[in-house]
Amino acid sequence: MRKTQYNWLLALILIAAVHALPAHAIDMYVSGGWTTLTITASDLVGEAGSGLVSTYDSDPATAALDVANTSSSSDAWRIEVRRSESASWSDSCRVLIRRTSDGSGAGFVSGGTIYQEVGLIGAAFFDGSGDRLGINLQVRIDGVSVSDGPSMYSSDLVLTVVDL
Amino acid sequence: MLAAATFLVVLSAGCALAGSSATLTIHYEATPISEIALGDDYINLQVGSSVSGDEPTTYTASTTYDLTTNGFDGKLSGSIGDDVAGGLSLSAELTPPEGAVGCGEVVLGRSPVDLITGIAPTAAGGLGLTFRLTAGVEAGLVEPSHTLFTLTVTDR
Repeated sequence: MRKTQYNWLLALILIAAVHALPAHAIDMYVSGGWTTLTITASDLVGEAGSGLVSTYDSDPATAALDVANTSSSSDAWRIEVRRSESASWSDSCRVLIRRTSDGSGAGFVSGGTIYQEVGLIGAAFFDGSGDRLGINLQVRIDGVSVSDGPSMYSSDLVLTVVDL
Repeated sequence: MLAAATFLVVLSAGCALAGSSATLTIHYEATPISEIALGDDYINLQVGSSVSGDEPTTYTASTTYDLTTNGFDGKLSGSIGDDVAGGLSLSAELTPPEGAVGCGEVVLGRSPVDLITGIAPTAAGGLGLTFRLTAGVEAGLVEPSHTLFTLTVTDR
């Protein structure tokens, strides 16, 4: 190949690379979880003959969510949440989640401060813009009863950031 | 040719996913729970007079019991601390919680005997517990006595 043709081809490659690459993808990180809950006879509503307390709340900062790598403080995004189907989860137990802090950063966050049930299908959780760090999350389990039986129960919540 | 292949690779790398996902794990343990309580601390069974040739006389007294269990296929068994005097027979009959099977009237002794079987997870209170003391003539003059009744819930 002649040098001129080679240079043109190289230029084309560089131009294509610059235009083909989109703006930086927004990144999201989640740390923490809720794995410390143990339900015992001390969780009965009363004495023998009574049922279990049905609702349990995690620590208000049981998890922290970071949104990073946005293009600017006005780069809008949305967090969606869903629960992964799990054979080791009780069908009668619901999982709810809420945001308990705004985190920090140049942008803003809104919504998600009221407990909402997390279903198997993704749903909007809260919105924001720009980089935000340390957004605290709290989880609630509702519907616990003696009918579930003694066992280990696990499920995963999947959080996804969507660039708006 | 090599340059053309490189061009295509760059284009493909530019089409990265715009979103990001992360997982939050929720996990809890439900431990075995078996709680039982009797409605009274003691009950009295009053033995009256019996005449030779008459049928054995039965005296009854009732109380209640409360049960919470998350186990499957559990049972309730009962025993008494001391055997009753000769000529006397002490038995118990429990009302089973929903779904469980009552064993009917069962004579009590120092070894535990099944009173309810097939207990599923339940939280039930105020279930009936009836004691029956049967005294035949051979019991003679029955001195006041007491015995300790123990009701135990066990899981499968």
